[in-house]
Amino acid sequence: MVPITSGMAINQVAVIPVGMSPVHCLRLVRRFSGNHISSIILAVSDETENYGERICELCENLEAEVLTCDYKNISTLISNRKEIKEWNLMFGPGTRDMGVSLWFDIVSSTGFPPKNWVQHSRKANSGKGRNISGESLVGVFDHSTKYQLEQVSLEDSLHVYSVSMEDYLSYPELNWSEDETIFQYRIIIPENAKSMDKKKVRKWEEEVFSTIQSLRKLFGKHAIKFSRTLIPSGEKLEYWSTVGSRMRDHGIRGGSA
Amino acid sequence: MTEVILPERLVVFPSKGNNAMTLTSIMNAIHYPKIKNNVKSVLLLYDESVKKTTDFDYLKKMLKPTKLIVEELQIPEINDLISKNLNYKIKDGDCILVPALQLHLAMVLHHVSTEVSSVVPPNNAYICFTKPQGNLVRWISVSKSENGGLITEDSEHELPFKSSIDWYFESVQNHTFPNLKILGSVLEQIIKSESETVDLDEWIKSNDLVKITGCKSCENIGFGFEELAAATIEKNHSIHQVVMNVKFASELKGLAPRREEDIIAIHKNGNMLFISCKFNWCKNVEKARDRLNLEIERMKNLKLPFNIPDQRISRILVTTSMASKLVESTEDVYVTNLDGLTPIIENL
Repeated sequence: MVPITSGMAINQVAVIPVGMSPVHCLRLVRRFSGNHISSIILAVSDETENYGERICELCENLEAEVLTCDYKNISTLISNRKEIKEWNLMFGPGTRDMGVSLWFDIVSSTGFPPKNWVQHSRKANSGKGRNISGESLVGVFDHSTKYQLEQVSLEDSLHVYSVSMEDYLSYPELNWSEDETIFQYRIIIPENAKSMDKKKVRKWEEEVFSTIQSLRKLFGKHAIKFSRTLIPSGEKLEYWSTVGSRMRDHGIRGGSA
Repeated sequence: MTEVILPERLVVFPSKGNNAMTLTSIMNAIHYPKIKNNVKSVLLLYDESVKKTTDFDYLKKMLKPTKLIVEELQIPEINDLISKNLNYKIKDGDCILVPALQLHLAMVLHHVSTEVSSVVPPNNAYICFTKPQGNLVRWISVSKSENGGLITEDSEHELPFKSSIDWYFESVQNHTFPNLKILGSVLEQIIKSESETVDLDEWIKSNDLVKITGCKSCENIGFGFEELAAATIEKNHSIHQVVMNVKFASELKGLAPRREEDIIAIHKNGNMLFISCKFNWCKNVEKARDRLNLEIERMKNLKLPFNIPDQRISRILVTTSMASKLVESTEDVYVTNLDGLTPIIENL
């Protein structure tokens, strides 16, 4: 953990819990910085401590000072920093446990509630509920303070997840979606799927699952989204529907042709 | 000094299409008799999309034994929530159950803070949070301080059993119960002999397993193996309920069941055990290992139709003794033979 530096004029602090989608936190840090926030505390857990430190590495040139702190120790940090006038707390990244715990610790240590912030976007009411507006950082306390969130580059995302460009490039179907802040991997059903026999399909499927397994290991299961092209359907092609069911069990959905 | 009001009304944001989560939170909040006797009603705050995807009749049916009066209030949808705000008016002794959505959490905490520190505040309000493990509840009381700020106090309680398989089974099309009725000592003997044998054929024949388990033939011994596992689980004192052959409905109405899982059980700590049985002859070691690894991966990533925190689910793969030595047992997916099932369940 990086200790908070003493002697700095810190009047407004933002606390951002770091969860299993740390690139979101990087976007938030960059947006909070400079908007009256002089110090940003990344509240990390044992699982996200490394993410927090790598986010700090990418934020060395920001206007605001960026530090990490174990979310369970925020009370100690608060009691050492009486000069801080205002606490801001981000809800969204991190678990609800972290959110409730940080809110409680800030209120019980300062006697006043923090200003709550959320990430918000308008979503389509139909289909997959995709974003129909850009994502914003919104102050719940007045409903009007709103900052548009920026995208994060592939290079920065790889740094946060500690994955090399070489590893990334070794998966041709892997893409970084700047709009959704997530890696996407598309499983391409072979062109000759209809003519493949059951044994070949099974072998292809095992290779696909092995790739999925290694990608989940590399990025963590929250950082990557899998999708697939259409599986063939029709007489004597029932085994492809079994492949579809097994993929669904792994959270990979898609239709059939 | 202002009078401290005990929780009187639970304020709940029902989880979208997930009554089990909502019920667990409510039951945890009213676990202690002192609170249970004081809480008279529950206010459900939901938006149009939750209304469309949640069976409130089922929720109310499950809540009937609690005798809580159910109040309902529709709140703006997420798209409009930021501009329209929560239209809920806080009352003395309201107890907010921490919602699943962090947007709701941030808004309701802001709402509570503002109302409690207002000029004519409610005496106090509560926040109740069931931790992801499911058996740990944190209570926070919030009241106004003399300087216009807030006073908070908290306490944490570990709770005993508090869930039921029925809560989770809205999406289940059908299931069966363990069918094997044999003496515990006979079952123990069968399990013990499996852990010592290198000849599964002989094990099946010498224990007359085709007949005992009711599977049609030696080739169908997988079904018999499931019965043995279910009977072992059912006899375990740490288990509350067990069901087998759980068929989940397809998301598309009118279609055949989407998936069948071998065994689902509820531990007495309230958590769910999701158990897959794979009888494996181990005739080809490499193939056996690959299949088990594939099943482990499937179990690890399986999206169950009931969306509950991972911490509340234990995944167990039960296989033959020889096969269980081929792969690693981890906390993500425990791999065991029948003999190792009891100690795993007791240590959960």
